[in-house]
Formats: sequence, structure tokens, C-alpha cells
Amino acid sequence: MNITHIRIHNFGPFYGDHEIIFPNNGVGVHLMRGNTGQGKTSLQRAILWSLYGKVRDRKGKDISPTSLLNKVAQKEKNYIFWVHIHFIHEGKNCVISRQMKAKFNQDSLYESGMELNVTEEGVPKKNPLQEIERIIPQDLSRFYFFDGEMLRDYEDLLEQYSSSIKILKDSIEHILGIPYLTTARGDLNQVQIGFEKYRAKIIKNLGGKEYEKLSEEYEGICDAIISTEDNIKKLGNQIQGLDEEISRLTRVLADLEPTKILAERKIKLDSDIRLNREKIEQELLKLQHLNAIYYKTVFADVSKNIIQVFDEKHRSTMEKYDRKQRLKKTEHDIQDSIDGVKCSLCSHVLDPERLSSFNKQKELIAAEIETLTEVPEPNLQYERYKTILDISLKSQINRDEYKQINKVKILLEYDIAIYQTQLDEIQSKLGDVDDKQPSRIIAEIKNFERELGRLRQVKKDEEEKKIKQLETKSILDQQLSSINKDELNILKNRIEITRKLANIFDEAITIYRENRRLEVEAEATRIFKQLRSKTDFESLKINENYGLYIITKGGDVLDRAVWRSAGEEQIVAFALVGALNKCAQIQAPIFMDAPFGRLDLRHGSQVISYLPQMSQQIVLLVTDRELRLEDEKLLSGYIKSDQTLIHRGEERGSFIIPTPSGG
Amino acid sequence: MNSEEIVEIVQRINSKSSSPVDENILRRIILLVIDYPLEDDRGICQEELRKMIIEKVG
Repeated sequence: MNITHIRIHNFGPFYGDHEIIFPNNGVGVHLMRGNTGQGKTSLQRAILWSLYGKVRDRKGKDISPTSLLNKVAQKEKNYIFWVHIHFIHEGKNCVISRQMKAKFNQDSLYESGMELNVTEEGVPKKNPLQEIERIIPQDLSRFYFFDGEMLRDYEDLLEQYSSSIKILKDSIEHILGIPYLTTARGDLNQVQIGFEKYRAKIIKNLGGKEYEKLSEEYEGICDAIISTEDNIKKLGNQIQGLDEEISRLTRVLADLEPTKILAERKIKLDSDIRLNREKIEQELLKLQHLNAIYYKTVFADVSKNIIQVFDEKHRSTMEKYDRKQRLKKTEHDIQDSIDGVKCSLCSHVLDPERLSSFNKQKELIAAEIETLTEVPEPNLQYERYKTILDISLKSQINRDEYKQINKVKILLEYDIAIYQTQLDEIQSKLGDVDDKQPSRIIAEIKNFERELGRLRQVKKDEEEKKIKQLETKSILDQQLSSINKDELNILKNRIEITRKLANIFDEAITIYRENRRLEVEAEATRIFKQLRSKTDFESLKINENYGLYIITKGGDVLDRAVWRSAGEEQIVAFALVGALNKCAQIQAPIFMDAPFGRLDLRHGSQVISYLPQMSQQIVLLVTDRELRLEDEKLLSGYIKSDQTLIHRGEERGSFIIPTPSGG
Repeated sequence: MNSEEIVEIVQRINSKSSSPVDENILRRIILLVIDYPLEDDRGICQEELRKMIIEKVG
């Protein structure tokens, strides 16, 4: 299939009629230039929509018809859009035309108003959907219409346990033609069952309870096998559906990785701010406590003076008191001495001189005591007040404590301000994005994986059941084959040859699959070496699931984690896509939207040089940055058309014009 | 679609069999499934195969 021209009407940014011509019967490299937002991706979507009636956005979600209709046409209530693809297939001129039309701008009305036609040399085909599936099956479109981002699917093949491997494996086997053999085997099995059931009916008609029972058993087991096969097929479809959904969600999750990181950072900042606010609260409590006892500090000087006064007063009182006590004792001692100079019996003065001296001393002391009679007893209240003041003095606040609290508080507030700024930045980056979405998707993937595990087990049980049913059928077969009647003998021969044919195809599947795998492996290695600048890798190895390994010159298998490099992975992915297209059983044009966006300049140039070998018709949808003048030189001689997409504002939409000279 | 590689493989397997079938029928089966590859084609394709086998062995 080579596309010669495409006509578009009111699709996406293309308002009214637009036409793209691919000269040279489509053969060669065709450039479609345009910077971001000019309509490159919409052009690719227009072709895919024309082929399959639906298109998906980058997240894998179907785009609704109302979103596909041009916005200006929508305003004008012109609810019709179409895409016609003119192409040459197996030497014949064919056209695929798809149109959606509605009375009102509603998705359901567009769906019911869809028209699809496929013509070959002007003659309409009876079943256009089937014709398209024959020309370019939908599940193979991934190999012919892809963008740089889609290379990630193939990079997943380097992850040996990736869920997308299963989906890719089916597509890869399809493009390599393996289903022709599996279909032949399946059809032969069905034909064989038909013959066998017919034989059972004939035996039933022969009469006799034994024959009747045998044929009923046989019919029963045949029906059971058909039912089990049907179950296995349905389970297989459900498993594939889940695999695809998990793969889609994993991709969405990967796209949301920046959001996930931002959301995690946001949660951390929120928590840090909360923590700092709690710490500030604690500091404020400390401050409150300090304020409560601050009067003690204010009155500290006064307290000291009062204590001094108390001390002074107390000391002086105590001195007088002590002196009075001492004098009283002395007075008492003198009285004893006076008594000593008198006879204890008659009180006669024994020594008048000494008596006189003692009396004088006593008088003097008595006079002194008299002066001290006003000295009060020691006031214990003084002691109590002094103690209170002492305690108060000890608990006065150190001014450094205030400083320290303030310092901590300022630092915490400063951190909060920084966190808040970061939080605001994150919030503005997140915009309206739902930051809870990543965690929801992770939970959804886990649920799907659980269901997948369950379905796989059920399928395995059904497969085991089928083996037992086949064993039972084989025993009944032998019994039926032993009945010797002409008609039965003919049927026996038919069954035997059908079985033999089915076995040949069964055996061929394994051999053909292995041959094709080795062929893809050799081709992928050749392309990989051609695209890669380093020479330390020897080859690519592809296992039975189409998982990829890199083999070094020393013969070691490289673990992806060891050599992981985005550039290398893309080259491996590109080599595989190139090899698959080279080995494909279907010839179709390759449309690449922004294919070099994730490649560095050097590898990008090497991929560009390889492109003309990839398919008869290559359409490159590129930006100026992706395809530089030097790169164009690499395609010299292969470029057969050069057109540019220009978006001329909302009202006029996108246009396709020949690229002005000079690029 | 290049059917020759498939034809060549099935013929080779057949030739190694103790009682090989007519090689021509193998080629015809392959061409038939290539012409009718879709799920919706299965009924018509199986009917053609049935006729082909009856024609071959009676």
C-alpha cells in the first residue's frame, strides 16, 4: 500500500477542504514540516480515523467525534467532516472514504451517521471494514503510524516482565505472518470436528443402543471441547483487554511522573509547614511562661534592696537582742558573786569592798539592760519574706532565654516562608491537575493485576480441562473408527487427513515462528549496529516473547539496569521497529510524528540516514529542530515532496502548503 | 504477502512424514487463509477447506 494523496474536510484544525499529494506514486520520503501546534499530529490522526473510525489521544483515550469536528465548522453548524485516502494496493488504485455527519453536534448522532466506503479501481467493495483489515490491520497500525513517544512501547520489551510485552508479542507475531498458520490450524481443527460430529450422527442412525450411547457420548465430548475452546478464547480476550488497560495506565502513570513527584513534594512541604507551626506554638508557650514570671525579673532590684534592708534590720535587732541576753547572764553571774561575798548562813558581808564593786557593776549592767529593754524579740516574719524574695530572685528570667526563643521562632518562620514559596510554585505548576490521580492509578493498576492473575488461573484450568476432554475424545475416536461401514470409512479418511493437515500446520507454527524470530533478530542487530555510534555491543538477542537483550563483544548479556540509557533504549527500540517493518508480511507507508524528539543529534542523524531503507513510503512529520539542513542532506535523492503545515489562527485553522524554498 | 516461506516449511514437514499428503493441498490451504484472514471470514474459509478435503478423499 502506498498513499498517493489525502483529502481532508473539516477535520480537527483543517477547516474546509485540504489536499496532500504524495508524488512518485507515494514512493520515497515525504516531508511534512510544522512546528508545535500547526496540525502534524491531527494530520496523522485524520489518516488513522479514516482507516479505523476512531483515534486516541496520547493518553490512550478515544477522542470523541464532536472533538474531531473543526471548531469553526461547529460554530457554523456544519456538522460534517470526512477524510479520503487514495492509495495503490497490489497495483490497483483504491480509495478509502470515511465521513461523519450529524444533524446536531452530538457524539451518538455522528456515530450513527458514519459512512465508510472502499473502492478498488472505482468499484465499491462489499465489506469495507474487512477490506481495510486485509490491507492494514488495526492492531498493526502501531508499526506504521507512530510518534517518538510510542517508541517507549518497544523500550518496554527491554523490561522482561513488562505487561506490554504480551500485547506487543501478538502484534509482532501478526506483522510477521504467524497468524496465517495458527488460523489454518484452527480452521482445520474446526473442519475435523464437523466431520467427527457428522460421523457420530451416522453411527446413531445405524441403530442399536450401543451405537446410540457411543455417538451421544462422542457428540457430547465434541460440544464440550467447543465450549471449552470458546471459554479459553473469551478468557484470552479478557486477559488481553486487561493487559492493554494496564499498559495504558502504566503509560499514563509514566506521563504523570512529574505530577507524582510534585504531589509527593507538596505533601512533604505541607507536613514540614505543619511541623514548624507546631514548634512555633511550643516556643510561644515557653514565651507565655516567661512572661508570666517576668514581674520577678522586673522587681529583682527592688527585692535585693528589700532583702538588704531586711538583713540589716534583722542583724541589728539580733545584735541588740544578743547583747541584752549576754548582759542578763552577766547580771546573773554578778548576782551570784554578790551572794558569794555574804555568809550563806547569816548573810554577813564578808568582803564589803568586793561587794561594793559587784554592786556597782550590777547597777551599770542593769542600767545598760534598761536601755535595751525596748529591743523586741526576733521577728520571724522577716525571715519568711526574705526567703520568698530569695526564691523570687533565683527564678528571675535570663534575658538570653528570650533571645533564644525569638531566634528559634524567627528561624522557624523563615523556613515556613521558604516552604510556602515552594508550595506556591508547586501549586502553580500543578494548576488544575489532580495531584491525587497518580495514587488512584496505582491502586487501579493493582486491582487490574489481581484480576489478571485470577483470569490467568481460570484460563489455565480451562486448558487443563481441554486436555482431559481431548483424551476422552481420543478413546471414543478409536471405538468409533473400529466400526466398519463404507460411509464411515470415507468419513474416517476425511477425519484422518484433516487431523494430519492440522498437525503439519501445528508443527510449522513453531518452526516458522523461530525462523522469523531469528530473521528479526539478525535484521535488528544489523540496524542497531548501523544506528549506534559505539562498537562495544555485539548484537541484539530476542527471546521467544520478543523480549530484547544486548550482547556485548565478550558474549555477556547486559542487564538493562546496568547499561540503562534513554538514548540507547530508543536506538534499540528503533532497530526493532525497523527490523519488524523489514520482515513484515504487509507493505504499508510509515508515518512518523516527531520521531527524533528523544534522540540526541548524532543518533538522530544516524536514524535519518537509515529511514529510506525502512519502507517504500516514509512520511516524516517534523519540526525544524528535528530536521536540520545537515539532516536533509542525508536524505538527498530520497525526498519526493516537501510540504509545510501552518496554523493561521482559530478562524482559519491549519493549511498545507509547499515548503517555501530555503526550508 | 509472501507465502513461499510458509509453503516451504509446511512442505518440508510433510515430506518427512511417513505418509505425506499431497503438497498441492498444503499450498491451497495457505492461500485460502491469506485470502480470508479475518475473524468474520472463518465460516467461509472452513467451508472451503471442508470442500477441498472432500474433493481430495471423497
